[in-house]
Amino acid sequence: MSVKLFDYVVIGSGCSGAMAAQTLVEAGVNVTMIDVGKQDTTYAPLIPDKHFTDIRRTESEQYRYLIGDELEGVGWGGVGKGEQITPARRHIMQATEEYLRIISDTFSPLESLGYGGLGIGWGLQCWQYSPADLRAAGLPVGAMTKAYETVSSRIGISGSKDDAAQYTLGKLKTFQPSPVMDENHERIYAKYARRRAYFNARGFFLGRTPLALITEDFQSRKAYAYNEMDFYSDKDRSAWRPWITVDQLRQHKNFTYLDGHLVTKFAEHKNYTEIHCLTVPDNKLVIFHCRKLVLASGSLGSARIVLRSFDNSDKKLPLLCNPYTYIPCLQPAMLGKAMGDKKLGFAQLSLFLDEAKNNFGLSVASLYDYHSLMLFRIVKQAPLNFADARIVMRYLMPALEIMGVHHPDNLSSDKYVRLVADNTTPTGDHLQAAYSLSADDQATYSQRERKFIGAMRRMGTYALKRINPGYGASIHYAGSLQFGKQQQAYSLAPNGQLHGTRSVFVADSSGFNYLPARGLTFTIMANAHLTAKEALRNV
Amino acid sequence: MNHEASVFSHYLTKRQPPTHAQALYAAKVAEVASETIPPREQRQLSFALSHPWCIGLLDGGLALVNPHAELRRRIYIMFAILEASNQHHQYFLVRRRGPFYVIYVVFVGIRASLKAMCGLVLLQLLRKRS
Repeated sequence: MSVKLFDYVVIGSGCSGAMAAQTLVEAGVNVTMIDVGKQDTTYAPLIPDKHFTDIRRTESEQYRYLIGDELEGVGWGGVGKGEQITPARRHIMQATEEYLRIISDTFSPLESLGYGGLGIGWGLQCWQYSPADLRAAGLPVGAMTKAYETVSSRIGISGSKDDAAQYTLGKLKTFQPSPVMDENHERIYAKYARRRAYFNARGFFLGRTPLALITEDFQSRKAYAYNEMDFYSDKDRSAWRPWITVDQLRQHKNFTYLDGHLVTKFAEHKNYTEIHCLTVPDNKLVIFHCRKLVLASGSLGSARIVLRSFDNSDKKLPLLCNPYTYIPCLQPAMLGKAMGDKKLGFAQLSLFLDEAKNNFGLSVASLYDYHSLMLFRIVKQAPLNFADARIVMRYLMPALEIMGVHHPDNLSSDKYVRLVADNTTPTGDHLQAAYSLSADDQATYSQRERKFIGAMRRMGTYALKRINPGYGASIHYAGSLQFGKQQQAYSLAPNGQLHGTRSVFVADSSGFNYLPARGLTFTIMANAHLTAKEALRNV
Repeated sequence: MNHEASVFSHYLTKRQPPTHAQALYAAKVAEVASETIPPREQRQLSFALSHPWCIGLLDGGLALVNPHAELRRRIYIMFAILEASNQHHQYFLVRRRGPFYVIYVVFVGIRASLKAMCGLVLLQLLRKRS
């Protein structure tokens, strides 16, 4: 049987895979993207191009995409993974329990086999890492600064050069204006601006969140229309999703998209690399050959592939994940107000706590409102009967503010993953994970959260409670195959090449040696671009 | 099951559910019915359905002592279905309110607390009766 030989193969269609593939395609080489590529074909066609409120008032079939044909968007459990994912985006998790099983008492990650990977549900926050962050993560500062610019020019980013620009946009030059801020956030920002010196002296800096959301028409995409359907639909493509780039790449002759295949492992031979795949869903083994392999399956996905390929069942790989807490807050000045026309489901403001004022090791809070996720998701949190809770929560809704706090993460022996044999999964294994924070880290982060709550109080917004959704809920994973100059197994050279291989590169966050609190996606994409360039160079 | 859907819809909005809501509710309840419901929660559910006047009391009491009780789950399912219906949007969409509306909301809060207290007593009685 002849086995197909590809030139460059990229594994995965998420943020890193899309960026790496674009760099390779633009360089003119032949690229094949291998992906499982689950898509939503049920709900997306049903969602009208209308404002959320109009839909709620007029559309008789709204229940299908708001809560799901089988009410799959109505969760009755806790606050853990996937709880807030709406039916139109639930394909993000489809088949992961079967193919990407992970077992842990302490760590509950979200992974994806969807077309666009975790980027399907990404919150679009595009923070640049500071030079100190980049150095600690093992990334080259100069090259990454240029790479951020490249990514921004590809995907379209909106942002503002405001008080927090040093923490958000860094030196980025290519960006559009931020979307219009709603009244909730305008009030918070005005209160911050009035007492700026007070907040800055205590290490707080507030500014607009840079988003991969266009506010002006860009390439073939339309500017954000404030339809408030951010959690349900990408109809106008104003929000960048990885599949938008992959769709565009599929128009090129030197790009092939191969879906329905889960890459399980690779083996290097003299002149080629052998890739083992399982077809999904019928689980047949398929083998391809390639000259260059770029893994972009996410830190956990790449860990699985590398562990299987090196066949070392005892090996523990490190794990980084931002600890995350979300804090529902209330801004009494907004009680009884109508919801404005120009609402936005994505984060509108970012509040940084940088007590050392060195742009390193800080924590960050994203501020956003909750309106379009509907009442039913929050009403169960109220210790009231549902009939009265409906009246109370409906009144509170315009004043409700969600503050999501992320903290940085460092390596420790208490955070790891390893592969365990499991004959109940199609791959014959599952990932076992452990994650715990030291008592010192827990105390530091708890103290920081109290400071965030105090700062918000001074901005007229009062915390209702702190909710810890558990480790893994931040959906920021990294560090499984760390960057290192020494030729150690299960680590990456600074150019992204997997040590011990000639032609295998890792373009996702696996190499990061440190995980800053600022969301990692923009950095993942910039790094993927650089890694792809290195793969081109390394012949 | 249609009766159950009607009872909960009336409890939440004082209106009958739309036709599609009954089918959705029945399908979802059938799906969760495979899970074992503790006998005590089954009794609470049966009692609430046969005495709809006390649903608010039991719901309020359970919100404090067992917020994930089966009765509350069923009410919650109907809540989500009604919220995603254009025929019931006026009960869920946010509206501008005058400054005195807060008095009504405080009243509702106090009423909910009283219901919860009565509900706790009722739950105790139900437990003793069994």
